[in-house]
Amino acid sequence: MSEQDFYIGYLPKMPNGHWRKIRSFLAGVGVLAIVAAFMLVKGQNDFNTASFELGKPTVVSGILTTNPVPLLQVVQGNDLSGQAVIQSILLIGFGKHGAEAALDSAAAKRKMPLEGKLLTLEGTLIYHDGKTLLELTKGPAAVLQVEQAQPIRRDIERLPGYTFTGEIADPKCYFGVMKPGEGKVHRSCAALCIAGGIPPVLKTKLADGSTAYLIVKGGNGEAVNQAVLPVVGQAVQLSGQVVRYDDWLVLEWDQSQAIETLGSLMILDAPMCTEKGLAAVTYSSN
Amino acid sequence: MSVEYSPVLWNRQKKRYDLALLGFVALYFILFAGFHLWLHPSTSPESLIIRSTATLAFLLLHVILVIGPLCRLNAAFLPLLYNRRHLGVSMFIIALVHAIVSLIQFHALGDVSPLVALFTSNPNYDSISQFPFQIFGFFALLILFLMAATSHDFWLENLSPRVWKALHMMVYVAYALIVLHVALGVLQQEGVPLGATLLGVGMLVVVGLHVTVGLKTDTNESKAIGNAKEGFVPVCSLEEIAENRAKVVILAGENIAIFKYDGKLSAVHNVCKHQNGPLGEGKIVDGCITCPWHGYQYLPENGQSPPPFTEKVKTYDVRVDGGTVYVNPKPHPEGTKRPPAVIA
Repeated sequence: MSEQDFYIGYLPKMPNGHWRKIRSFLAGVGVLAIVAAFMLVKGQNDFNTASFELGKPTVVSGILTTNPVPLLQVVQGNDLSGQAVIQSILLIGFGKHGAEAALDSAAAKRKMPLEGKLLTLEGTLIYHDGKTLLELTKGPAAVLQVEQAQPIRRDIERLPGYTFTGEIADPKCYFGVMKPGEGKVHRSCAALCIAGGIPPVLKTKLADGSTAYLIVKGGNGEAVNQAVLPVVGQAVQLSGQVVRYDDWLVLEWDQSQAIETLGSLMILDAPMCTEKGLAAVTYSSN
Repeated sequence: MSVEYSPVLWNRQKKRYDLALLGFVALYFILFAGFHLWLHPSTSPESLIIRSTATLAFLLLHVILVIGPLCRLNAAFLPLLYNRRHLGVSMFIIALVHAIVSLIQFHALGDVSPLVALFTSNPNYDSISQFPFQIFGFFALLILFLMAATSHDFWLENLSPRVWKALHMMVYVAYALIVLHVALGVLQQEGVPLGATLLGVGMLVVVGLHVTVGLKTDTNESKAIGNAKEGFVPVCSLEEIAENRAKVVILAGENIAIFKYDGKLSAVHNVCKHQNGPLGEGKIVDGCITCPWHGYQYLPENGQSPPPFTEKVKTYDVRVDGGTVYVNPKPHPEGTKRPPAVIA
């Protein structure tokens, strides 16, 4: 470096030798930024096509049932045999909370139970992979109208016991509020959602490549939210009885058999179940 | 240099530095968002913000960490060091955006406060693979905050250069914490070798440059004092020191810079009082030793900054005999005037 090339930052002009080198360095860092941005973006796993209609409230009417979890049963018309086609919309509270508090508050305000009533609710839709959820964004005020209604015939079927491998996620985030709404980076959020009363859902991959979602409850139908918290967001194996409530499956986890953690979530890329069993889904028998 | 504090002592080169930084940050965000929306149209705005700020802050941290060793290896990089604190504060602000959006996204609106949730929502503290990776990010951000908040000469003066420097050396702890944050977080989530490869390359560059500089300093500058005469140790020949430049030696633990100027030699402590910059890599400008990092100046005969500035460094006795330069490693108190050795 020549004598004239000594750099002093507070002088108005940078020596030419420095400027040439710095210019090359900056160009290199600029190219690095372009390459790094592309590689980092390209290297990410794909995001699913789940939707959360944030800021776009929807009004929907249906019969409320809290068995096995808060569901709004919406008649979508009749099938060819004249039977009502029911879609069960899973109800969720605002933030990381279940829907119970908002529904209980609305019931107390009206001084009547809401179970079995025709409710008109305003909320924010969440949907993905054939499942629909409704966030009661305004809390108790989401219940716009309550009317008496004729009960809808439930299609409840008890199925054999099974062992499943998959990930326990919170359905609110997984089905649309967050991307990704599963895995290690989302574990804390899922644990908070489930601790807040949102029913845990086991996501499991089937032999035919499709994905099944099972609401996890206890052997007697009780909530097990606290019990599953340590394994949320991990690859796990758990066993229990499967019960179909209309278009939702419930796994009544046999708590005498501890949930086994399997380490890496990467194994979820492989089919977890091998045998065909049921009309609604296919998975392996114990 | 300044005798009073102001938020930023703007000059032309700082403005150019900040403009280049701003352009780089804008370019990265635009590219990242563009690629993201092109390749992953199903993404969410929150994920876009979290990931773009995370990757940019980490990239900038790498640049910050390599500037020091690059400058020791090649003085042409010194302009990058001159305003590095603006780079550091910018990196902290970007990391803070990442942290705040992540905290709101993943930990807010639950039964407990977000900060409590940060520490309690994932209880797997007894597992390495399942460890709550956010904790590492939290403590790294805390360190970066302390550094950003004290990134001003007011704090350098009031904390003392030694404490200030020790605090800012915590950047290496922050870097290690962020490596853990990434390795136990997003790398587990994404499960692709690309992220691990990029992380490994980044670590290799940072560690490799620091080790290279460390080895260079250790082998090139230390001198034995076994052949001292009357306390004076031969360190080099006159020809080894360029006019208005210095030779740096480490004698008896003393880091000494011997400057040659105007037919004379003077020796001072090699560490600048401002930010511990290497004075021996500086130059005599307008009769003053000028630090290569931020241009702080000292008179070679007494180690004092010219009035009205008040910085002082230790001085040493120098002799010249038969074309050989001798230095006595016993230091004189900071600012002590010592007669320069006159070159015959």
